[in-house]
Amino acid sequence: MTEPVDTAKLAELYRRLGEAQASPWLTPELLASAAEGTLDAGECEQVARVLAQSPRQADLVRALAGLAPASRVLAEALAERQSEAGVAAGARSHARRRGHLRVVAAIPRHEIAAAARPPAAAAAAARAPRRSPRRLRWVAAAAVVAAVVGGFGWQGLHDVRPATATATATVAPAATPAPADTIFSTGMNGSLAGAKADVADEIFSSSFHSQKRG
Amino acid sequence: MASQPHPPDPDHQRLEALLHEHGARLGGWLARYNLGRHGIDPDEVVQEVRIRLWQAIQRDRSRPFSASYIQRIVASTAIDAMRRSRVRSSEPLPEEDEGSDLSMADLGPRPDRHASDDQRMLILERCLAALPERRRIPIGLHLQGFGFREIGELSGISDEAARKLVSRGMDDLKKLLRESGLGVSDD
Repeated sequence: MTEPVDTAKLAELYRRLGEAQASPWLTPELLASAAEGTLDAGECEQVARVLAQSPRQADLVRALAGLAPASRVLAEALAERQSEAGVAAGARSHARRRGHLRVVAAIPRHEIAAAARPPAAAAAAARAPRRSPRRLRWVAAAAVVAAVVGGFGWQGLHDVRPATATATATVAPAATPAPADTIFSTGMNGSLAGAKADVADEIFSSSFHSQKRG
Repeated sequence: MASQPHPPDPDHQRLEALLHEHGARLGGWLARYNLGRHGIDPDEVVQEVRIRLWQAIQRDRSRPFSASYIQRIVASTAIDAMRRSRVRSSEPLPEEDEGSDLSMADLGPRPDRHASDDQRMLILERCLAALPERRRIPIGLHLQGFGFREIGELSGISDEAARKLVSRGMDDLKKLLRESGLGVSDD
């Protein structure tokens, strides 16, 4: 007992002392929080006291702290797997319950559809391309006809609409003579009417003057 | 009509591969921190953690698995294993294990040294009890191998405050040990 002890030896003796004594077990939650350094202020004293006495739990907390990066990596990998599994399950559920909309991300739609397709539907889908070109041709022709007819219809509507719109929208400018009314208005007030009157007047006035002269 | 065997589920296969791969890392960490000295088999703990994670995933597939949740599963599994090992160690030892390949070094200190250490432990226990608890806990954590930062986090104090408490506490402890007749070197 004359051999002096250093701190390492003191630590060894202290840990053996702790192993010989019974310490209460902390909950896994508290041990995990202690390893993460996320203990609440009220929990610190109890946890520190137990860890100061129990080499088992102290070693476990240190191991958990060292394990934290590996746990994070595993959690991320599980989350990734879950999201992919969830997407596939969602697509299957969508196929079963039509009308239910589910947002799908990260996986191409055709892959989800392929994963969700039941065997019978897959077989039908495999057969579908053989008859679709003919059907597609008819559909395309009908679409072209509809587009042409619709285009003409639209064109007609487009031509009629502005005149009607002007007539209804601009009532006041109707007082201003339109170009078509120019001849009429000119006839009323212009030189042509005046010329005719002049001619008549000239005859009248000439006969009047002649009678007068006569 | 006989039912045909189901083809292997790729999702299950992937999960199994994932847990296998990460389980190996977990086992590595448990071995690194030498938890085997507390009577637990890291491989058994890893296997149990894998089973518990698998069961948790099967119970609720949409459950988010955080790193904290995984840590809690590891902690809970390790605690169970340590408790079982304590129960086993308190059971009577077998008569003779001829197949054992343990060397003498594995059996612990020699009897004379053991007796000497027992006396030292008694002195240490008395001297620690003489210290105020405010210093005893940081010293205990220090002797358990925690660093000042960890002691600060666990005690809810700053790293610097933890360092001072440990330093002063160790000085007081060594003084008490010397006064009790135990030679202590200043290292």
